[in-house]
Amino acid sequence: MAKKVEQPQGKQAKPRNNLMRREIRWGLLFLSPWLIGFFIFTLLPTLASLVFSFTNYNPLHPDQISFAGLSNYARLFTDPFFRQAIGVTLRFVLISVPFAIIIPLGLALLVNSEHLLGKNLYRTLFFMPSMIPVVVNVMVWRGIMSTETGWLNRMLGVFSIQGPSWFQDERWVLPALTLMGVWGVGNAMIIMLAGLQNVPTELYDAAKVDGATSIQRFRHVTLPIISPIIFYQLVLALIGSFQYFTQAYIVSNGRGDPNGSTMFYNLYLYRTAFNFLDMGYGATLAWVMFVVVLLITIFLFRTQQRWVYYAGGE
Amino acid sequence: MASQTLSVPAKPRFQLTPRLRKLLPYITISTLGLVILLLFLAPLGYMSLTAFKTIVQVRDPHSQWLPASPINYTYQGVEYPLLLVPTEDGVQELALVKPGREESDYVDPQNPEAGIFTVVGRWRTFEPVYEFNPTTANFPTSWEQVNLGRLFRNTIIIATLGTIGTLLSSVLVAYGFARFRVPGISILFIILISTIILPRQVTLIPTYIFFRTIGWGGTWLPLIVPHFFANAYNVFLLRQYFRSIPRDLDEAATLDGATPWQVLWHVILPQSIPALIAVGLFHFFFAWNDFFEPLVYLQGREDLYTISIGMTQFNNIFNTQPGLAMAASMMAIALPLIMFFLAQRVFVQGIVVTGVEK
Amino acid sequence: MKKHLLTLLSLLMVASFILAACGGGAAATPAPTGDTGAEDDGGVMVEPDVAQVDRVQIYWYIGLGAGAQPQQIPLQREFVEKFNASQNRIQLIMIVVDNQFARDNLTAQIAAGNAPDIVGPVGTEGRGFFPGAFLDLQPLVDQFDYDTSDIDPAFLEFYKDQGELIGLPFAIFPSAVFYNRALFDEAGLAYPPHEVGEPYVLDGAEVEWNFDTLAEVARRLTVDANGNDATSADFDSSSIVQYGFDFQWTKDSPRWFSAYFEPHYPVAADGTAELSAGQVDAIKWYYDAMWGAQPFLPTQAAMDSDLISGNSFSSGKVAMGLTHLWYTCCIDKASVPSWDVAVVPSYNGVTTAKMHGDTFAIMNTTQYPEEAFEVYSYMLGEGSADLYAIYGGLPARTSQQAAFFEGQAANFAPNEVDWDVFLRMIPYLEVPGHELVLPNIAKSHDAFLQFGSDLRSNPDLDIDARITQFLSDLTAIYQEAQ
Repeated sequence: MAKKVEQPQGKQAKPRNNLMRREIRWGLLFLSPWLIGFFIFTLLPTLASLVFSFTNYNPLHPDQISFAGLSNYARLFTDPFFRQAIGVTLRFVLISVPFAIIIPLGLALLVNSEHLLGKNLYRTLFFMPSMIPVVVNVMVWRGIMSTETGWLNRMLGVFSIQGPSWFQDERWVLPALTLMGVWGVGNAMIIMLAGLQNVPTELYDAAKVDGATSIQRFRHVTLPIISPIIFYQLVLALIGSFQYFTQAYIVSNGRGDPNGSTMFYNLYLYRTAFNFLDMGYGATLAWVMFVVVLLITIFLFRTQQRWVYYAGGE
Repeated sequence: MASQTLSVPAKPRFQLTPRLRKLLPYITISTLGLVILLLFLAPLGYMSLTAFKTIVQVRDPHSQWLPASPINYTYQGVEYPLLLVPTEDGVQELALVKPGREESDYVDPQNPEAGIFTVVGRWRTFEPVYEFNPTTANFPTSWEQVNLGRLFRNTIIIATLGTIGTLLSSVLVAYGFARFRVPGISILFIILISTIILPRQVTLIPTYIFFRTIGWGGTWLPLIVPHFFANAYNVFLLRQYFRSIPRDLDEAATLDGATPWQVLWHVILPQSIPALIAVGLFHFFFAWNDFFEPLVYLQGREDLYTISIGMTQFNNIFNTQPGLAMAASMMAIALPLIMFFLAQRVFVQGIVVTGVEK
Repeated sequence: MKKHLLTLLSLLMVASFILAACGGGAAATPAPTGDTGAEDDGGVMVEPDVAQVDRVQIYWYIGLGAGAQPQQIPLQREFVEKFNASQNRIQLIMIVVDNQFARDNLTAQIAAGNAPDIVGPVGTEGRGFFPGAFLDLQPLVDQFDYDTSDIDPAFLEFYKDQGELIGLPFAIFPSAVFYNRALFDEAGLAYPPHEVGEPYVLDGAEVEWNFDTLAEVARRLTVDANGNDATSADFDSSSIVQYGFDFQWTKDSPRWFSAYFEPHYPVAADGTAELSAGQVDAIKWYYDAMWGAQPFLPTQAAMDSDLISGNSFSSGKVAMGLTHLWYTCCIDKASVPSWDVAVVPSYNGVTTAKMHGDTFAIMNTTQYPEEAFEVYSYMLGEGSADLYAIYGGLPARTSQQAAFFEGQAANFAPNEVDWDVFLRMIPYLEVPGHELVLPNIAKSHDAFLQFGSDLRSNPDLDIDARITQFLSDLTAIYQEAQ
């Protein structure tokens, strides 16, 4: 990086500008598919829904649409379901995000280990559940976590533990969903694995020669090299948990059972817009969530210089 | 990796032979792996066993592990279940003719001429006689019920076209983000990331109206064409990957007069095959499992439905049929599974190649 | 190499733009159809079921109520073909959407200005989620001189939503207690009565057939793994293998099952939420039936277990299920070979038979109300026998009822069912209906469902406090609508 900046310095300013212009042209060319798609499929619809958030738009009565000013935003402070949904979502983020990082990393380390016999088979089998359609996933886990007949509680019973009613108990349903999510970490595991495969073997050998233990090698060689991947995974897991929807929607047919404890923010948003037909307020909810998650993401990116290492340099 | 920590505490009493010392980490790690794997696959075991059960077996408390059925004895043209009944002459296998709370009527299959007799004791506490009795009927039934063949065809077409689209466009865009100094590119990148966190519901209604207006409602186009315009997840992944490739390589190529296309093609892509395969697979499986967008855009077009929409018929609360659902899911995951097995070899090769080049 | 990549890329880009352009040109193509057209593998661009130019297209939306079951779809397709062949002015096209998504899906269609013409079969509650979206049929009934003389006037009233006749009575589903004969025999208990006012014989004495009696019978029919019934001191409520009673698919919302005790519209004169004393009694009775000292009704956890897998009476492990006639859809003959129906028990001396009425409705955005009504008349007239067979509903027209029950009897033979019980329940039809539209209906309905879920899954509920909290939440939801 530093080298590159130094080189053209000795020369005239004009060719350097040309070079830069050329780079900009190429860059824009490469970015163009996204720029076009972004404009059509994201920007325009998003702006349209921002406009909706200041109206009382109801698709059943499109002709009665009128500007509602900030009243939709004011409702946020009095809506008890909004508070409930925020609570459910934050709790779920706290419970599920650590699992979404640690489990796939652990699995990736396991299937990358030179001492594991039949590695390829393991990779495939660990990945397999993540290909299962969510509908099926939910049906299988409802069976597994059934209070009386489920395999999980029977297994706990072997250790004389009385298992809870996972999906029917307010206190256990979020851990149950997290556990269900752990089953689908195949994607994350493969990404982590691709990162681990990219750790140059020379670095390991050098560390070995220096007498580093396996834990030290993991800490000082592996972690820094795969830190961009972990960062990627962290961002995705965080966003994924904030946007948690499909499983919650299927597990209770969108009703948030038991007693509203799975009424995730996104599910509430969806119900507001599509069941209560309150699309103005729905758009408001969407925008609030968008802004909050955006702020968190920006914060994460700010912190990344401290712990994320890029071989290509910045 | 773990060999050193594991071999250090070897006690003097257990003088391991060098051969065993070498094997120990393999045994430890492989056993650990096997245990985790078994836990991980238990739900699939549940799925497979349930797929071979009839609805009666699913609901039968005596058939909770393996698909099993009670053995019946036919007495005067009617079938009655066999129980192990403790009597004065020891435990006998008797057919339960008329159940009662405290005493029930039985017939002895060994001696049916003796007729029906009463035994005191609660029949629920007697062990029933069961036999392993799986059914394969769930497979053809569920195949036909949701027209799984057509669902497969539709899903493969959508997933394949989308995968091509997302690979082509995401590579270009990720390359653009990873290597070019365009003014404001960091802001563009933040915008790109923001699209990940943008809830789908925000854009759903306007997008839906847009697609309908241009006549794409009830077609596959809304599920395919947007993927030709890159997708934030994939761009993010590929960009991170491209950035972890040392810049020196493409700078050397640029100094040799290579255009950015050539750099992408000859320098970046060969090193990124694992990431490319990962992105391709992820999209394929995403398309295979996606259920929200097909639901919205293929509404009512039964003939265009994809697997996951078709599968929802089994989640109908008024018609819960775990056996059929699990049989259909087993068939639904077979193809992606085979694909993954095949692709994994390429995947490994890709890693070997990049390793050699380094 | 580079050339290949470039060529491939540009080709794909061009192709996608051409596709986009083609799509734009076809903007006038009508809504999707549920028909398997002639398309082979190119379904991407072509609308397979081409709209016929010389006919008016009427779109029929199925899924809000019955109709999306896999075995029903081909039968409905036959019905559509039969109608289309019967005349040459209208092309009827059906759209089938799975029940659990239909409400959201129809909303999206309406939002996109793409609403269908006819919706159904759908009940009062399903229609209530789309207030103001349906056409008042009275003018069309008058215009076409449609004959309603064969229909019980009480039904016509029952089908009116907010004073408008948005559906003509089609199929009615009275309630009854479905009971499993084998389980009564095993316990040595008498069958429940088949006539309203007839007593129940318990331990040799005649007692009134009310909810207290039902609870007592149900306790004796609830058995744990050791064969103790719920009245026994040794009864272990954690190992129940057979339950006495369930509100079969009528318990999600407390508004539903409480209607069997006392029908009451839960809005007070001042616009706040209100439950009647009978409704509160029903809720307490129900909660005690699951979590009391002698439980006899499956909790949510039990419902979700493999043993019952969502369909309690049909599992053969529940002795009585109080529900509607439509439940004949889903009784597994292998698990419950011998069943019959009895009358709904009384509460405070009064019997109330909760009723469902399904029909079709015409959306008020239709461009062709007269053609839609023509299809509608066919559905309820000439073609109705086909539809009753598909949906299993009791015809609202008296003249068609006998044939319907004959079909049902043949379906369940050799098991014999006293079908007349359903007819005997009709005079006890609830007033006001438990599905009448509430203020802010979608959200208030959700509040009821959440309350119901809490009842089914929370063993430690302070029921009075919960009711108070529920009423205050519900009041807030009502007021949000104003």
